[in-house]
Amino acid sequence: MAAISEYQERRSEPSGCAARSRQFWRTYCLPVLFVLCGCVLLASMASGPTSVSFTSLGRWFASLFGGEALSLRDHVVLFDIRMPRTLLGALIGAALGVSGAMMQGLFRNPLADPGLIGVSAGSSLAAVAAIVLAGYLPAAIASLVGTYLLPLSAFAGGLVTTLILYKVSTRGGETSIATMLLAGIALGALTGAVTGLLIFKSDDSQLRDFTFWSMGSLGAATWQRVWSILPFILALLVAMPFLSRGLNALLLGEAEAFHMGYDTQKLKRILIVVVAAATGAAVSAAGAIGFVGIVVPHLLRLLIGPDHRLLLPGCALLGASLLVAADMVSRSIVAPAELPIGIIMAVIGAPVFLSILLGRRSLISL
Amino acid sequence: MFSTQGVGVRRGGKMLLEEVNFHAMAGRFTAIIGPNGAGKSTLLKCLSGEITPEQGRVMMEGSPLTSYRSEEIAARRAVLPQVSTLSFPFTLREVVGLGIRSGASAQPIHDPEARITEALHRVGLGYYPDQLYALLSGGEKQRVQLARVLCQVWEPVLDGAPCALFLDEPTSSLDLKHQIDVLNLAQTYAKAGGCVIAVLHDIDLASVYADEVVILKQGRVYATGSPERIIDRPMLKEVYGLTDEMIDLKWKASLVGA
Repeated sequence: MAAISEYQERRSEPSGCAARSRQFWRTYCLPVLFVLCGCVLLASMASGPTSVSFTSLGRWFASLFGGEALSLRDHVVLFDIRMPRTLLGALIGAALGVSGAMMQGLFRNPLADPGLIGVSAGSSLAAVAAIVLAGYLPAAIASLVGTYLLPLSAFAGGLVTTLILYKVSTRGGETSIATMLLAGIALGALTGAVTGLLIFKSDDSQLRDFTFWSMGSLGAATWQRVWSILPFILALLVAMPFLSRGLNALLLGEAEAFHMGYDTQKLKRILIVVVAAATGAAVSAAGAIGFVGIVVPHLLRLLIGPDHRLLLPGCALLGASLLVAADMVSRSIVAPAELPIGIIMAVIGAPVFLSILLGRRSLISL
Repeated sequence: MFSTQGVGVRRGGKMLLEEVNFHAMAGRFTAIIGPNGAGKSTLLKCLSGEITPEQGRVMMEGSPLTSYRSEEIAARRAVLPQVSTLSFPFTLREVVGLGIRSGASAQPIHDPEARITEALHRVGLGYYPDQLYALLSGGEKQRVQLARVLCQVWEPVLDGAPCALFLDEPTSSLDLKHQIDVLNLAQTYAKAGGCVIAVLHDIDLASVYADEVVILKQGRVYATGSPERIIDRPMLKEVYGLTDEMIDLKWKASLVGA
């Protein structure tokens, strides 16, 4: 008995503490993240180069209850400039965070990220192609898809890239991490080359659009953009609770998930479609913003573990907060100019990616 | 409870299984043995529904396996895989919990946490349920997976019908004591009315624990029957290609073939 308790002590002492903190965060993470997200959204509404701030927000709230109305300028700044930008950032952040977590579950690998493995690049290519080639579309089709042309083509691009990537890197239900990352590099190079070709053929205004795709920015936020990506991202958020148990089982392995009674083929198809749709929508509205899909799920797994029933909603809230916060930095750090948000995310994300590699080298077989 | 009729599986022009007739009854421990590449794991995959054979039929409780939905099958049988990789930071409790919350649980379980703890105790890992799975040794991981699988089909007999435990080389990475522990566990499950089908490499363990042994050789059933009847010196020579000297060397104090 003495031997057992000594053994137990040796094995459980360091992790007992971790287990308690995991239990704590499993209970409180969603409320905490919810409050955090709310605060960040309000802060984003209140910050910017003009003098419109928390006081103006407060005055607006007061005006709802019969107080003095806001000046027209303040109203325009708040509701036509900052609000769409904040909402767009929140939607895209949530989409990227959740897509990252889902893709990592699908590939059974914590390094899979739509930005890193070429899915965003595929979406960008399709979006760029849509901009250049839109003039050649028959008017009937163009008016039919309307504002959805960009998100739809970005979705198609993301879907094709994901499918190719999955086919290349997965054999018999086992994904090779090395193949996946290398295939991602190859696909990224290929889509980059084709994008370059299209740029070669483009005029000045199209060229400006391309710079925007490659860096990523929320600067072009309008209500129209918010509405055009909303359905794609809502689809992802609505699918979350139905996919989380299956994703948990999928982490054990494809055969194991089948043995546990999940229809793995159907599950994988749904995952690929919703992830491609959400990533495509995000790319079409703000360009390719990397690393959100890696940083957010990784941080949350450290706190609450990999259970997708909590992880996915957590990723939505934390992803939204992170991207909106990064956008606040991007538009204030060199104001009145703006830094592309992709640069800020890379500065935060790349070290996290490296630390995952270093800290878990023994756990991930390349 | 599980049976196959004339099952044939072809992969890349090679017949992995040919004309296999197999029968495993509830309440019995059935072991599948044979040399490497004989088709043992392929047969288990056919029985679990992972592979649909090109020829023949796989039956569960008298109906074709294909007539069930995958949740229905999962409620009746659980599969312990040979190797399992998991590159996410699950604790033991969470891994085992996946078994409880899988599509299998036909009835809501009164106290899932107590069930998880009990399952971990049964495989001898009850002392540190909040340990990270990735930090365990290979043998410990396999025992955690066994606990998960047990949670999926906890009752050997559920609503009057038997449940089944498929084990693909359950002892391959275990030390001697845990090999015995795990097989005792499986035997208890069979004695309580469940159906146990295990692919085993160790002929000695198969002959001690199995009620029924199926010997495969090059994708065909070589013999079926009780271990005392079919595990003998001529079989070892013919199926495994052993010589008399090899048999004497391996079984100095022998359980079989003496």
